[in-house]
Amino acid sequence: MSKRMMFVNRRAPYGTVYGLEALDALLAASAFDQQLCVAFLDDGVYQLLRNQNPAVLDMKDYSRTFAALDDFGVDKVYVERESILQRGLCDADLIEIRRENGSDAVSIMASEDMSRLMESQDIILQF
Amino acid sequence: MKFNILINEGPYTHQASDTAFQFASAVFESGHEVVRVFFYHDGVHNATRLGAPPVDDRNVIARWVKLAEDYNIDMAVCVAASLRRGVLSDESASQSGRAIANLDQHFKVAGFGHFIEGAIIADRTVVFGD
Amino acid sequence: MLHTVNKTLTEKPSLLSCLRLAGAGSDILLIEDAVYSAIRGSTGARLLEQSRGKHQLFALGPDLECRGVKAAQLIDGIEVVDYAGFVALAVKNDTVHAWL
Repeated sequence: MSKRMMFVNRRAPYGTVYGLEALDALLAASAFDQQLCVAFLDDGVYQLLRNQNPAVLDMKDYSRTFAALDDFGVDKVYVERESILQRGLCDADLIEIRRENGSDAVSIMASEDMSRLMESQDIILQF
Repeated sequence: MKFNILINEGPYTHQASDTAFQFASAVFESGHEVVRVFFYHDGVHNATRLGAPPVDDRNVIARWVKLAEDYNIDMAVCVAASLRRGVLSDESASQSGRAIANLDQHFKVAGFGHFIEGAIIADRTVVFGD
Repeated sequence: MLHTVNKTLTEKPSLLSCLRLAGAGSDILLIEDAVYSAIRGSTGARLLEQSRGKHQLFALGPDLECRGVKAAQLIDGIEVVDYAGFVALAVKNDTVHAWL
């Protein structure tokens, strides 16, 4: 039986490697036919900002891969609204992640809904 | 009950590996088992055979090796994370043209999928990081 | 679900996020530096006191002892457990969620 696994990103990109390696891990996990989803909260929402240009520091732009998550069978991306607002950001500041059929893969949700979603997981991995 | 453990930080700098070791030992003492320990991020540094800690401190790596030998635990480092950080098996050293291999022989090299597989077969997955 | 937190509130907001997102009836275990957050009068302890009705709170005894913190210094309603107790909590709950 497949397990419900959530990859939770709570750290900003570039300052540490956790975000990049979380994405590597998620892509590796996508080969196992489990029920995967990815969540962004706290400083993790910074990973989704538009206009990132890590090339200026000779670093890898892994945020581009988020747009292709559906190709890896990850079609559920959850973002906590409070985390966005607390950082002076709004929904429009975040990159778009669409499924192959054009629908929006990103759900921006209140803490209570994120909480319920977390409670329904079998495995939660924070990065 | 079967436990699958993920360690995300190296030895000494963070307590994660110590906590995971104490937890893993207690798992066996409680009549359960740890089937797999997977090392990710800087956690791959837990698998170097070259560490030489002072004699008045614990030897984090030797402690894991002893536990793995006593209870037949499968210990693996992530291939991508370990190559990036220069923790190399004989095979990966020769493949990347490096003269020295430093991976302790009690650890294997595997993809992150090895951890996911552990999460699927185990009853519980517990993560230790910082 | 068993939630583990390993940092003080003054170093990292993990405890805050855990308390915001942990479902009612969850177990929360403070380990490593997070055990300082259970000391009566601290910023973390005030938040923990407010959450006592919603969550079952635990602190890892060896981490308290290691750091010179006595059980008597902790807020009421926190149960001190050893590593075997940590394992028992992990067995009791279907999922262990580490806030890193």
